[in-house]
Amino acid sequence: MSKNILVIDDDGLVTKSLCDLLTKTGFSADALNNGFDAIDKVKDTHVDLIVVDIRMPGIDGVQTVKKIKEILKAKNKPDIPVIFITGYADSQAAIEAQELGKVILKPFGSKELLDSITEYI
Amino acid sequence: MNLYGISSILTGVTSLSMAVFVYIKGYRNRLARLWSLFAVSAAFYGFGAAMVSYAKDAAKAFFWWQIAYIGIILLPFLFVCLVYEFLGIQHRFFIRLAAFLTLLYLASNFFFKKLFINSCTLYFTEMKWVTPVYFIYPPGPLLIFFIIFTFFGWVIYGHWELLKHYKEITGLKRNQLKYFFIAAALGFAGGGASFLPCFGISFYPIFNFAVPLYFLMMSYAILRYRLLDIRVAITRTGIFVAVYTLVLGAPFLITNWFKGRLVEVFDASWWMIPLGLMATLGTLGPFIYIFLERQAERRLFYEQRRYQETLRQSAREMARIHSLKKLLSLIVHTVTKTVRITHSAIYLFDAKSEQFLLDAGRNLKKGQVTSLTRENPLVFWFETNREPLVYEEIKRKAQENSKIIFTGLEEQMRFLNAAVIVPGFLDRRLIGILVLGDKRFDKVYSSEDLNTFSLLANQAALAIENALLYENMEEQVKKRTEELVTVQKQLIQAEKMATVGTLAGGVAHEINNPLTAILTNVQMLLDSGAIDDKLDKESLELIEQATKRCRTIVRKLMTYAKKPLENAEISAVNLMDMLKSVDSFVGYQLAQDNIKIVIDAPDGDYSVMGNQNELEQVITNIVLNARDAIRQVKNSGDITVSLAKNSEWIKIKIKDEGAGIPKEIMPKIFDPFFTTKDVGRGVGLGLPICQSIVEKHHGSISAQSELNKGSVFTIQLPVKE
Repeated sequence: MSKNILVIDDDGLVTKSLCDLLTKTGFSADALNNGFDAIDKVKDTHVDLIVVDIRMPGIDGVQTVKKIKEILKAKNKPDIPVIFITGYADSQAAIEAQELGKVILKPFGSKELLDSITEYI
Repeated sequence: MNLYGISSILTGVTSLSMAVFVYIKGYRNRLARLWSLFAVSAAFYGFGAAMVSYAKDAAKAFFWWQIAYIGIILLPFLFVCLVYEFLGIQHRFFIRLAAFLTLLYLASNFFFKKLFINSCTLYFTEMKWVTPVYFIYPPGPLLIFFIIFTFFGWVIYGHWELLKHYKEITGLKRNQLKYFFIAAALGFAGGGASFLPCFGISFYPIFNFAVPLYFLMMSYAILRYRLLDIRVAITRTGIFVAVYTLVLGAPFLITNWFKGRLVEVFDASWWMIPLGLMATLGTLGPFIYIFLERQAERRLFYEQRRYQETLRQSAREMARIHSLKKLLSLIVHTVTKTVRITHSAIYLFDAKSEQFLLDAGRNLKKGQVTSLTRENPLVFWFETNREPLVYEEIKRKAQENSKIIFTGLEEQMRFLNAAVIVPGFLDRRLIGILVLGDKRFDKVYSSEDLNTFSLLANQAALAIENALLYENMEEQVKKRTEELVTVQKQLIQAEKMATVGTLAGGVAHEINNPLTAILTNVQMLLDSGAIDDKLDKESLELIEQATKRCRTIVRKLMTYAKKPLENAEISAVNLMDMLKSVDSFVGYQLAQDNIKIVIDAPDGDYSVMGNQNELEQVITNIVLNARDAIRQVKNSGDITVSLAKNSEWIKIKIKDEGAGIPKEIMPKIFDPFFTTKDVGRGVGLGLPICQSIVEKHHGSISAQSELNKGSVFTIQLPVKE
């Protein structure tokens, strides 16, 4: 069974591209465009890895991941590895993100992303 | 009534007192000394003749005539000497001859009486109310010769010389000459008329009164000749004589004419009337004199007062003028026109050149001196003596005095073509001088003129200072306004840049997403293996490359645009890597201009503690400056970045062979808002920011440059421990 990766980004262009890439590589990918949906999804779907954009309207990537991790903990589910993608490396959120997962700078090449993913799964 | 006697006494008194007075006041002056002697001779004549007129018998009269003739003989000789002295002539031969003749006359007077005077007889016995005088002395041949050729001859000759030189002499001396001439003519003519009875002409020597008058006029002139108009001399002495003749003479006349009547009326105390009259008139005398003098002067000086008032008025108006140029030209214009002088000029002290420069003038000749240094004797003189200088006076002093200073002053005044120089002071400082030419129509500067000019000069000094301050102020305000406008422009620019920076940051971030899409998809295509065609593959590879380049640009743009965070990350920075990063960012930009970065660093670990982004910012800024410098002078070039290290420091040197920085600008390059670029092309914040970043890293930044050779910027950072 292929690993399930959740891609969260408010930009449809990005989500579509990443999903295509992941599918081609052999993963199963789901795209969401906001954090709230992602939180809900995690509740009832098994996710092996999350790729999330930090800067999103509504709830940002870091908050989303924090929430998700809380839920996982609460439900005694295993932790899900997270890869954050972002334009700003130095923003406060990015710094926080580094403690929660890996941070990759946009725009990145497919190799860079895939290498990071295979580190985890 | 012994008129002749009275006139002789007056002669004696006036000439003797004037002789003493002139000698005391002016003994240093050769002219004054000669004139004293002349006056003494006249005194001999005066007193001698007086004694003759009161003589009781012929023998006594004869004796006194001999005494009187000492004076008479000397008078023509001394007159010619005076004329020569005044005109500066030296006819030694004539003088020697004249001296010889004079001695001869004197000798004959006493020893060769038959040639001269032998005896005398009473004359004018028939005339009413004049006392007879022992006036007939049959003239001997030498006496006739003397009277005609010496007394009248030399005197006429002397006057002829004066006339001859009248045209050559200008200014003050001309005036003096005028009254020397007139006074002498009157005196000698009047006195000479006394000879007539000897030749049988029964003409009472009433004109002998001209002689004392002459003395009064002349001595007044000689002593005050600096500044006196001939009219004034005549008027003043005229009034003086008139008043005092009245005061003193009236009682005498009354006694003489009305004695009989008085005795009739007052018996024994008749003398009280004349005495009382004399006392009254004596008391009133000075007041009458002053009153008459004032009246006369008011008429005489009407014109003087007119222009002095004009000058005073201009002085008041001057304070209102703020333009220095206008003020100066007003001053020279007013002075030249109102006072009617030939030309005028103003020299003002200029602080920059430390000289007195010719700032305004009217009717100046071509060669007029344009500047005076502080070492000029005139300047030195004015700083100690705060009064105007009059050329004629200085010339006189230079001739009599052996002091060099007067010669120097005279020379300077001549160079400046100045008849009068008036200094202007402000707070005891000499700030300028007003040079005045001669008054037209040979008029003379009076002491009131000089006083008015001094007043004018000091008022002018104030007004000039005001005008200067005003202009200075205006200039300063203009300058400050310009500076403010420039700073304002720069601030606006800086704000624009900041805004652009923020915008750029935002935009850059927005681009990241599409770039991600492009890059990932392109790479997907390439990795899929589905593209067989070589050209198609190349196409995709180019897209990948292009996208990566976009990424770099965006990254750097965002780094450059964002505000440095207060607690920006401090970490170990590998300078070598940093330099390479900068090279990769700006490298292709520089390549557009055919410029390349050459990194020169021996192997080693160049690590410092700091913020990589900020250090990159610094290097980038300097490298871009270097590019601009190279572009100014050539089409291609290298920017050499070298690293060097010792145990304490790492030095980064960025060297270019561009236009270089001028020496005058070097101290300013790290000043905020200082820029040599046009508005819009550079705010002038680059280097100051670099400096603050480097200093934040506990390092230092410096620059060396040579115009047209190039520049080297050196950044020194402490080695990472």
